[in-house]
Amino acid sequence: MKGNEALAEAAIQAGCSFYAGYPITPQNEIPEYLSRKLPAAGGTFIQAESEVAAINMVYGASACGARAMTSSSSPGISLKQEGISFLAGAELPAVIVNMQRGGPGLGNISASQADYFQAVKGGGHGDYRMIVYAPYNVQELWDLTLLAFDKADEYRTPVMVLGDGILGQMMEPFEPTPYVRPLLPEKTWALGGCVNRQPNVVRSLYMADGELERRNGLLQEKYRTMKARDVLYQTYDVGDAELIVVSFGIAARIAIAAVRKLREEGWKIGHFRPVTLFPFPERQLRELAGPDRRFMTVELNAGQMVEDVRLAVNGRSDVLFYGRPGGAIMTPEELYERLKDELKG
Amino acid sequence: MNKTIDRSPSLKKVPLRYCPGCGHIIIHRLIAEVIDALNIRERTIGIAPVGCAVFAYDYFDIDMLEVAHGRPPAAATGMKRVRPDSIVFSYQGDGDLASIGTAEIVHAANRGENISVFFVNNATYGMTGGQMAPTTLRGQVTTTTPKGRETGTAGYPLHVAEMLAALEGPSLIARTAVDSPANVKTTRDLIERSFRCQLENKGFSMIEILSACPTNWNMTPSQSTIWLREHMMNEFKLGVFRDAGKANVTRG
Amino acid sequence: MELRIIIAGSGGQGVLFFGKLLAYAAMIEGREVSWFPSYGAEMRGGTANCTVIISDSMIGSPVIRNPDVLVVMNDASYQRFAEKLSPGGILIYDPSAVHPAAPRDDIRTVTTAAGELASAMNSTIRANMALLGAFIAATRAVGVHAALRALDENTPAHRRDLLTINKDIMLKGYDSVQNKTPAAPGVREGIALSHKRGRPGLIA
Repeated sequence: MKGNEALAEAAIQAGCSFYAGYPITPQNEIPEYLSRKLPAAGGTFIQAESEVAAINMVYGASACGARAMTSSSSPGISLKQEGISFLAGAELPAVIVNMQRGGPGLGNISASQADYFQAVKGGGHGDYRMIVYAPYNVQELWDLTLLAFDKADEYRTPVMVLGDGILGQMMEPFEPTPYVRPLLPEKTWALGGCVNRQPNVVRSLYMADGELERRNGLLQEKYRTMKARDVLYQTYDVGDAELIVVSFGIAARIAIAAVRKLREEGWKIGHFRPVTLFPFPERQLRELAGPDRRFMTVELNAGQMVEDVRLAVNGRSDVLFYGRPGGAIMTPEELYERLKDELKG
Repeated sequence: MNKTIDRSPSLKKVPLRYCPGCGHIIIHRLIAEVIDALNIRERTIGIAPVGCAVFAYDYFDIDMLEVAHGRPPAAATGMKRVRPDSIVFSYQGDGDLASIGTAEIVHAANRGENISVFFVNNATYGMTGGQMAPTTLRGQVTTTTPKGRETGTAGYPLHVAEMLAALEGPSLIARTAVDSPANVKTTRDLIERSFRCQLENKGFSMIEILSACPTNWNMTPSQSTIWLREHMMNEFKLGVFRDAGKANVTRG
Repeated sequence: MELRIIIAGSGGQGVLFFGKLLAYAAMIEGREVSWFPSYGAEMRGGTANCTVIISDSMIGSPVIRNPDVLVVMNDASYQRFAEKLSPGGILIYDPSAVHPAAPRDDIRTVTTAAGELASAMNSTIRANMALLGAFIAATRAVGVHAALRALDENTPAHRRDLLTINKDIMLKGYDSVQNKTPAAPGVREGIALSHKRGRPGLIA
């Protein structure tokens, strides 16, 4: 089972009953798998006419109370931004999967992390954020997809699973942990006919005086709650580390391999992996920062998350960067050499 | 004295903030009347478009969803698929449906989605102030065609009903108008047929409704009625373009 | 202990399936393993390859530059990957399909008449199975039994009739290797030790 298929099966297990998408490499296994399995599980699969239509189908399905998902890769995610902004504005839950490829433009189909800014800073128009999960192996593709549906419903918000071409294409052993549905608020806001109740209206247009500002205030309150409660991260040997490598997703796998080797050789080096890119583990990084310690972010882009790491440590530590843009993949060996140079000073 | 005409319950008892002579008021009323006549108010979900009718969610007393410009047929697809027992209609203008949303309407129609689409064609962009629409007539002056629509650079009036009628997916495709009592009656009948298509699982239907926009046409309401008849109806013929009478299209 | 393998050939030669069986066999043995294919436009050029990494600890990048073992099924693949094989690495191919121009002397070469073995069984397209058998004999990356079980579990119902012949070809490929790598101590030939399964999990 490829990473993409594991993610698709996790969506079914989490009770996703609606999927719409448009083909694009390297995520085609997701719609292909769901076209076979979702109808059998009682759900609906639609190959939409475009990414724009797909996200709006999800918008409609979600407005009617369904757990809904769409998936794509970088250029297709750009097309979905209008719909994601509407989902955020109308407070509708949805799961959006981005198996990133190289950009800008059509780029290439190699793995990349160049959509970090787009994912964590809003992406579409307006002051909104979404929870962004960055799995680094097939196990997390599974686990975080289950979680994504719950968090989307809990907060009534779009949630993104931000993978990449390698994660989506690769196979490795994982444990398909059973889905346990948490206690979630009932969707009393959903559309479905006003039987024994006042009609519901789902919208993102707020034209009355001061109405939109109040609405934005509520959204920001929601984002503050996420920051307080939903940060996920993983640390590796940071205790006495003089250099902490910060990376997420597939870059973290590469980096951890290099860091582990250096640790075995006795170097004081550790690793910090944000699992949620929004909310970003700001406080946790800040607490690790200090004058005797440096950070180096490692990304498959020209330097995006490094800005958030710098904001988090707020000048208390130097923050370096190493990255490969344009769909180029670094090897653990290459990174090992680079990190060793840095440790030698 | 007894009241002989009242507002249908599916329309809220609030003022409809449309301009004098605007067809939206009549069309809203007809849709509400049909919903109540068919006794489907508690199963109906409407879609408010981007355009003058965006506030439809303030007027219809039913579940309503506001959708991005041009995307109502896609959203309606998602809605109807997850709630096949609901009656889903989208209410769209010519900018929404015939310009920015052409892909969505063509493909929803081609899939034969079991939804009703009410397409209000007034040959201009109302809410944004009277710019050229895809349905603007040849030579028609708008704020973005100051010399009149020139087909050489701005193309031709788009005939949506005829285009969709060429597809195999739709069940019912018709064009009507709300310029006269007789045509208002026909429009009401077609709206009812459209909802009945959906109730009987016959699949996609679209009713294109020619409607006046006196404000942006720079006319009085009575002048605009005459212009609609003499010019719009000349370009956009009324009639039923497709009546496939398909039975029992079931959807998963 | 980590072994990095690239299997390359042309589309339709069963390169991805070879890798999948190998990965599956490693999984049966409780090892950490990753399988990563060439995909998308790259596949349309008529070439296909995949990378399999088998390890006792968490696997870093599933994409690598320099494999420890290279299996090639056509000349184009040899030309593309041969120089990337790590010094001391193992190169495996069928001499009737691959013709190395300037053989490297810093690697170990294992050849098998995979095409011939397969065609003797009236199944020329199953040379990949013979190569997999040879691969196991040359590397001991996984046990024969695990590979046979992997084949069993990855043969769909409508192909069950081919299961026996595939197994036979695989075993013939295994037997065809003269300079077999001895099985690890304490391991019956072809059956690897079962390793305790350990994998990275989600840490909140």
